[in-house]
Amino acid sequence: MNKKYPSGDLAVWIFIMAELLVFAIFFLAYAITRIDHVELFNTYQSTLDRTSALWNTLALISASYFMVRAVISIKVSQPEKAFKWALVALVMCMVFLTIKTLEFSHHISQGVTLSTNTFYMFYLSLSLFHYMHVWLGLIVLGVIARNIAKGRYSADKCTGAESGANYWHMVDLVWVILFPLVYIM
Amino acid sequence: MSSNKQHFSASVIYLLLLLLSIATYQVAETMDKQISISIGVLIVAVIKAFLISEYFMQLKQVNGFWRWSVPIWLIILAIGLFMAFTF
Repeated sequence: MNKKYPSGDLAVWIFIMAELLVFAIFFLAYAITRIDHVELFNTYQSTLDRTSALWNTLALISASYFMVRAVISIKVSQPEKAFKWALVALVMCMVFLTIKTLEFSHHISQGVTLSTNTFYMFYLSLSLFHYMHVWLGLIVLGVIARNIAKGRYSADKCTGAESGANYWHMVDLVWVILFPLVYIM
Repeated sequence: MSSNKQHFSASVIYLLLLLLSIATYQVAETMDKQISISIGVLIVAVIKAFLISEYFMQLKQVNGFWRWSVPIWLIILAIGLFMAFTF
């Protein structure tokens, strides 16, 4: 039977929708600006490391899936399994952050800044904005893992874990659009 | 839905998302940049985002406004991006 409200705290869903709105404005601004600078965008897009972006995509999708498994395990009263799933989700989150940090440091070493050109201005600001969300996600997933370990969730009481997992899915969902938009299209 | 069914459907969606991501990368690596490729990549991205909202965020199990909140966001964004890339 379908429910009236999604899983997790409704306030977190309002926050998620606000975040999605901000990212949509960012994505559309990128695409509209590109109309007048197609050659510039295509030229500098080809300097980006697409392979790293693919690994990052796989890491984020995996982290999302592992969080789904963690929440399901909480709901069937298997906290040990839930803890293990949350930990591997955390590892995937750290994989993303490591790869992205290396990517940023490579660009910085090449002298790329926000003022280098319009493409890099969008690429760096969009990526950095998302990167900050992943850092917040790392904290959220860490808190969920700690709470599972301390037995603070049960089959009937897991709104916090569901809310945190939903936030993480939002971070994943945004990257699923950002990856092709900035690295491929 | 039983937990086994939930595990199974989440696992199938996970594999599908991985495959679509790798396919997108392969297309970008092996084919010349064309508007048709960009639109194809956009459609695949929208499908992936829809699968995440339906199965990972579990909006599939919800009625009313919240059921369509993320899909409507996706459709509006996709139309905007499509128009910007085909302008």
